[in-house]
Amino acid sequence: MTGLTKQHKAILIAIPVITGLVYLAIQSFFVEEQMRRMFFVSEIALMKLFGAAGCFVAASRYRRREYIGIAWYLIGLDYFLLFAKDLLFGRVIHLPNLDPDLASTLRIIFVVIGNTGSAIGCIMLARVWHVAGIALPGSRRLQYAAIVVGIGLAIAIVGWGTWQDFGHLRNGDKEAYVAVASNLGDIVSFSAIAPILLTAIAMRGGALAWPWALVTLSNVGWLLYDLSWSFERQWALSEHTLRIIAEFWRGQGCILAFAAGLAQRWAIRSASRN
Amino acid sequence: MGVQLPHEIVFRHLARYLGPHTAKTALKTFSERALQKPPEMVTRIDAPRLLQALKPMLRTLIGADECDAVLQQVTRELSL
Repeated sequence: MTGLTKQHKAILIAIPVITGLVYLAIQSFFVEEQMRRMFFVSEIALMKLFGAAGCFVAASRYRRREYIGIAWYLIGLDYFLLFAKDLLFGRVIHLPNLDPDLASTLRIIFVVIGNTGSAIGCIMLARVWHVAGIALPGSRRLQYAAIVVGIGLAIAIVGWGTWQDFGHLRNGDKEAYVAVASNLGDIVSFSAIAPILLTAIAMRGGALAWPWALVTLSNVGWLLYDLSWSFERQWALSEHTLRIIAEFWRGQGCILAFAAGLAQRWAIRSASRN
Repeated sequence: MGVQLPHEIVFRHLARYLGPHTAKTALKTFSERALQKPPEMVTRIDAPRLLQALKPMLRTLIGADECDAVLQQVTRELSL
């Protein structure tokens, strides 16, 4: 018995699958450009809200100041701030009569705080094996190799865009702060994929493998989102198609964080009931 | 079901969360660290020290409340 019932597992698998299918179906109804922009903004705001809810649900299973609880809160804070930013200070949706310069500043503040929280949370999750004193699978050399590959992949995908954004910053483009903060946060989060995945593999067959595997997949979703835009020229796709693909992966990144949070909560709750 | 040895009871509870592989490794590591003996040699008298040694790991992974509930359950099953 793993602590998660078959029904729990079926729900955890169904959440991203159904969300992805619903997204693909609904987006096809929005043809007109303005409506389409509104759809994407609303859709991703909702997904971020789900991401935040999942992380907070997971964190609520822990007492204050408990290591994994803090990590979940920090990642949830990122999703929540990104959600709030989209709804309150976004370019498409925002508070009425909001000064554009103030909106831009608030976007920067929310994104910087959110990404810092997420980066710290991901590093904390990536170090759980060390803090708890459990062993990761494979030799030490293999573990380091996986981590180095993860960091290399993160830099390969986000590095060039970050470099360009630094250039925009030097030219006085204030909005580039948002891009730089997101990219740096992404590099840290993607670098954590390998140790988090190794932790999930180490706990295979146990209830806790599920949240760890889903957090890994959530980060992979975000990685594929960045990958979609980073290599837009190489894909040779229309912006219309590229946007559908990119937003699909961003939505998956968020909804998988929601599923991971649920899995974390169920893993612990279910086990205590057995 | 036959009578389970102390290390088998602890393993069963750990494996529920950590999976069999990590549960086995953790049991071996903490048993040797706290009792200087392999898990198979752990007696019911040794068990409280083993559970105490496992506590920080469990607290980190599943939280203090859940950890206390699990250790209580193990203690009950070991008839301590």
